Amino acid sequence: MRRALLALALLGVCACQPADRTDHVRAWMLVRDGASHDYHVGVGDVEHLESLRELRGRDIELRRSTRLEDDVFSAAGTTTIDGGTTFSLEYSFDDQGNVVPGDQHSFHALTLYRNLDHVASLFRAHGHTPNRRLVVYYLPRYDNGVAGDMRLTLVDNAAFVSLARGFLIVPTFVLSDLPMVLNEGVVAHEFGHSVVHQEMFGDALEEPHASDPSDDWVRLHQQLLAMHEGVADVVGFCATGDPDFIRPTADVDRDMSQPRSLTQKDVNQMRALPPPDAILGTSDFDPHFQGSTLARTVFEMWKGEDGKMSEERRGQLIDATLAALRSLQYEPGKFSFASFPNALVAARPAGERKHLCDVLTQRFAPLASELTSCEGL
Amino acid sequence: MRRLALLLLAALLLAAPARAELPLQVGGDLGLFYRDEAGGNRTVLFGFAPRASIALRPHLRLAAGYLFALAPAGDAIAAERVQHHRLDVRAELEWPVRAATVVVGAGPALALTHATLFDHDTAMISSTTLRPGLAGGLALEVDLGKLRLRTGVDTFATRGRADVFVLLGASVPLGGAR
Repeated sequence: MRRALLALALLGVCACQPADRTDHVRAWMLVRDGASHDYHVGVGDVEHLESLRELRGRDIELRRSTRLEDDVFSAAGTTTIDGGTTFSLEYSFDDQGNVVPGDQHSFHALTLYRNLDHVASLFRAHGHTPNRRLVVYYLPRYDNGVAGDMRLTLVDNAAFVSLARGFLIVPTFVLSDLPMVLNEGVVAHEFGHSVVHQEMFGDALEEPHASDPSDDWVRLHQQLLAMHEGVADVVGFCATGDPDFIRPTADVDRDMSQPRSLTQKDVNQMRALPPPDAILGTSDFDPHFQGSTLARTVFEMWKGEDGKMSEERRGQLIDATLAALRSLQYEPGKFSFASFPNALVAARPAGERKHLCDVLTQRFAPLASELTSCEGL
Repeated sequence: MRRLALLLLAALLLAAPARAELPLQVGGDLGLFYRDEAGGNRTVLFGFAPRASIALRPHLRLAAGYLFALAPAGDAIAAERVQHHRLDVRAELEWPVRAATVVVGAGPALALTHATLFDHDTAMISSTTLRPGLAGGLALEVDLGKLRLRTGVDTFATRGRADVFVLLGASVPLGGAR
């Protein structure tokens, strides 16, 4: 009996957790082919790590056992955030020293970290440095004061939440398509929201007048949401080079290479006020359609004659996007859905503006009077 | 109210007759294995756990158990199928309560996880990890003749993990009564 216990203890000592790693590792994850945009399991680089086991790095940190709670009964409608504890990646090493994730969630989390770090590094190279490390709330518990535990209402999704200064990653039930959490473009899209927010509003938890019920600010907010989605799609494209990056996950008509014009109906939708009987602070306006129109217009403005965009040209688009965002003033009378593409044109050399404006004035015809950068061209 | 419940429990424990000790019990448990994942969420799997226990002295026995659970998680593009194995040895204390017995046990355990990563249904790489830890449990057992039925909760704790197994099981004696 004593010998058996001793043997077990010795085995326990020898079978400890694998060593933690920092900085850079090679790991088995889901990788995307740069040419075909197909996804497959392979070995990729995971960089800027402070701790592999805790999946914490220079710009990104995953957290476990997190919780968000909407206090619907408070006057301010506050959301309480419990940051949980450090992540606990399950892994081992193969014969070549590559990290092998030890279970499905570790596989997802490792791929997610890599994709977020990749797009963060891309934008750092173009002058956007996150103000703080962004937290990934991995499968958070999400409580509502009335509805209770709402985790199962949020599935197959990923979202940037400025209040949490991070991303919510919720359970995936997709079996035949690529889960959002593994889609490099979708993850870059969510990072794009953090870029828009920081470049426009700095360290603020929310945009100004986020809960202001006055007509002007409600209309402005809806146009901001649509712009957010459009710019985030642009970021997703710039990070992957795939204008239809969401298709492996869902066929939801978001292909940026397919041009589409903004209609007056689209503009009216963005400027419409919620019905009088709507619950205070809620809206059924879906910004993705107009956002996709904006993204398609930007793609059309920027693409080459062969319909494609080189990596260098995508870099120029990132520079112009950041410059445009920094120039925007989010105030009634100074901001609208046309403000971003208008600022995008203004950020480019004069010789380029004619072509950009030809496309923009065609696709944004209902807002032509607001495209001041194209006057006289 | 809490004090009353505790007093009642104490009275039951003291008043119940001791059950006959049997040298070796073998059997198995079926149940739900709540695996503590890397992200802090729990995956629910079906688990099977054969076990054996031997009486050392009245109200004290030594038990050994093995737990197996299979997690066929993943999707068509990338899947990681994981086998969970766990061996544990524990000392168990018994408290007879009328016709039932409350059993509390704890001891060292070794968890082995074997994971295979699939790319579009093609196996790419496998890995095996060993994690020592502590196993413990609380069960309620009832004897129906020679058949012993049990229900309870088992836990396994190691660094960064705490798995739970909610079980329903049965065992029979091997060998005669003392």
